[in-house]
Amino acid sequence: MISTFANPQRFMNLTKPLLPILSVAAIVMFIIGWIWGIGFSPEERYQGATAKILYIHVPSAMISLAAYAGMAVSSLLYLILKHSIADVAAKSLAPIAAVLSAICLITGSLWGRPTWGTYWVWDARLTSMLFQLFLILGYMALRSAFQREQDAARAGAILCLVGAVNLPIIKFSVDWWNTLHQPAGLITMEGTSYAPGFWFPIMFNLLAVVVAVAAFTIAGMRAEVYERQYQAKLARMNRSAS
Amino acid sequence: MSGEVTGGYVFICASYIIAGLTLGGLALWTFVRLTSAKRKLAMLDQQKTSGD
Repeated sequence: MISTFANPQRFMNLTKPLLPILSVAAIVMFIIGWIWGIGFSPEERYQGATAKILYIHVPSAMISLAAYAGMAVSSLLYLILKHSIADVAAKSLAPIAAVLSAICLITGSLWGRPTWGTYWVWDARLTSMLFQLFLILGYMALRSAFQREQDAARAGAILCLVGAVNLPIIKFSVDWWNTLHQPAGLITMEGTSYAPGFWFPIMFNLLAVVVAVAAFTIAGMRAEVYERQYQAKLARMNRSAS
Repeated sequence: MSGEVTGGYVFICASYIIAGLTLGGLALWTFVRLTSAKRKLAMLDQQKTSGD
């Protein structure tokens, strides 16, 4: 099944009608989700109105981890199966994961100032999240350092897989260490610790980010496939001309 | 000191503005990348057809 979808042309045909639908859906969902979050969600008993920041912070944190996990799975598939579309997926997910990690860190910092009294602490959750952002930026820099796409793909995939060790550290840092950051509460084995007035807008904004990431990934992958087709055709033309 | 946070609207506005600008920037960059890659490929195909 993976091989069926790994064909770049089939991928292009499948995603062509999907991209405009996902893009429009993401914009509409963000407008609804943010208006809901800012204007119609209640103030939290202790955090007051600053709890409204969590409608951006929590989805961006969760989906940045999912995006990195997607990069790691794609990298592994590339190393095993050598499908170029797997590398295209990993490469396209990197800027998205970086942007979401940055949004998570910035909004977390802006939430921390009024509630914790500080923009930043070297707490395990915050530090491991910052490490993820640097890791993704390093991945992008490493890839751009290679001239041949195959070398960039291999080196990037190895770095990405090594960096995947950080994923459980981010996730369980609040359980393993005594952190200022509160433990997970949105989705747990025991249910949720959020009141419905907060849970529904967060889940809606989470869905908006998922749809947006799907649109960004497809658009990025399509751009990368076009770019590689261009490079391949140009090389063929140059070979036949000489 | 009641332990409750009051106000903080500057931080809320800053969060939404920064997130909006960052996501908007990513959308714009992705769109530009996609259209320019598509155009480059189409131009090359046209060049190839006229050269044949």
